[in-house]
Amino acid sequence: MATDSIQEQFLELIKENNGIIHKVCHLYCHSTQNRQDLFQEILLQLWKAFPKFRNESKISTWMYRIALNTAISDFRKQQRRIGTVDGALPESAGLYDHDLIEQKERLVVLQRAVNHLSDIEKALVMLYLEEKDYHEMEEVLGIKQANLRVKMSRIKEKLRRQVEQM
Amino acid sequence: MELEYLKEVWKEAANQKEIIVLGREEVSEIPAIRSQSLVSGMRRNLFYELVIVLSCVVAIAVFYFISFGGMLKEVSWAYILLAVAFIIYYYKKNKLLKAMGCPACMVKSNLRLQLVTLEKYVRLYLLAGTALAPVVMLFFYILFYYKHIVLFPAMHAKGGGIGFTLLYLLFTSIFTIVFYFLNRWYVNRLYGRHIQKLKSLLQEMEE
Repeated sequence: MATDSIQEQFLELIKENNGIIHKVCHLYCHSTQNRQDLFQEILLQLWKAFPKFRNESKISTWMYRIALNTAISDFRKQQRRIGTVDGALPESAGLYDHDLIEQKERLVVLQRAVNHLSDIEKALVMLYLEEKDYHEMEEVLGIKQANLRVKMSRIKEKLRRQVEQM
Repeated sequence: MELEYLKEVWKEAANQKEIIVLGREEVSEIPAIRSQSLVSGMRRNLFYELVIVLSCVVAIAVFYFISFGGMLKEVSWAYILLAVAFIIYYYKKNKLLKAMGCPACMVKSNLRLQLVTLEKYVRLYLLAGTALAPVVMLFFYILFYYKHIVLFPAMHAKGGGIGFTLLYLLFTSIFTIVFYFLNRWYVNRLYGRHIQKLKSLLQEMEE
């Protein structure tokens, strides 16, 4: 009975926040197989950690931590992740549906630029794109806010230069 | 600005994200998923290592108990002692692996914890692996002594037991040193790259 209740709560949690897991998988894995493997691994880690979750932090913060920790420090999968750098970010079906070739090209260039970032920089970019404030970024990554601001401006500059070169 | 543009795309993509079909049945199957994480892999390998070592040790111990009319049963006891030592070694390594990583912690703390624990794990691996060489050599020395086994009769006749003991000590020292460097190379091959990766990630976070 207790297990059923936990399963029910966990199912709700995943249904409401599965976008977090998908985004992390898309950002760190380049092949469908690797994405599926990472998705399963994150799900397993979430399941293991779920009974210990005490609402001390926001549920999204907790999920980002687990998803990013799994993606970043899992070196076994890292070796298999080497491959094409295209398509690591979720594709925007809306943009592709329209005949906006210029926009599509711009997006591909940006995707490539993001994929050239380090694992830590990718995590930062993802939290930025998710419109997390610096306090929450610090809660997830453990990097001081002042340092985060510096890093963020460096990343923006890096992306700008990479886009120019492409 | 590039990132601002990407933010719009990201938002749009989030709304059209793949929908995962996760029902009660799938959730009940999650505990059975075979983890592909580094630590889980290491724990599985460690367990297989324990099973293989214990199986071999038991077989060898039984062989020496039964064979040679029980003349070499000391060898069996030595192997049983080795098995006990290996169980302690397994326990310590498994404990370190259990402590390696905290997925719900901040990314930086988790990386630091993983690095510190992995370095402890590697030290234990290196220490135990190197210690094995002199322990085995000491065991054979004691066995030769008590069983009056003379390996080099000519040397024994000439200089007595001292010459042999000194030569044995020299050989043990060389063997231990070679074994240490072999172990170090192997441990570095196994975990060196990951330790370096963790260090560089932490350095990047602190810069």
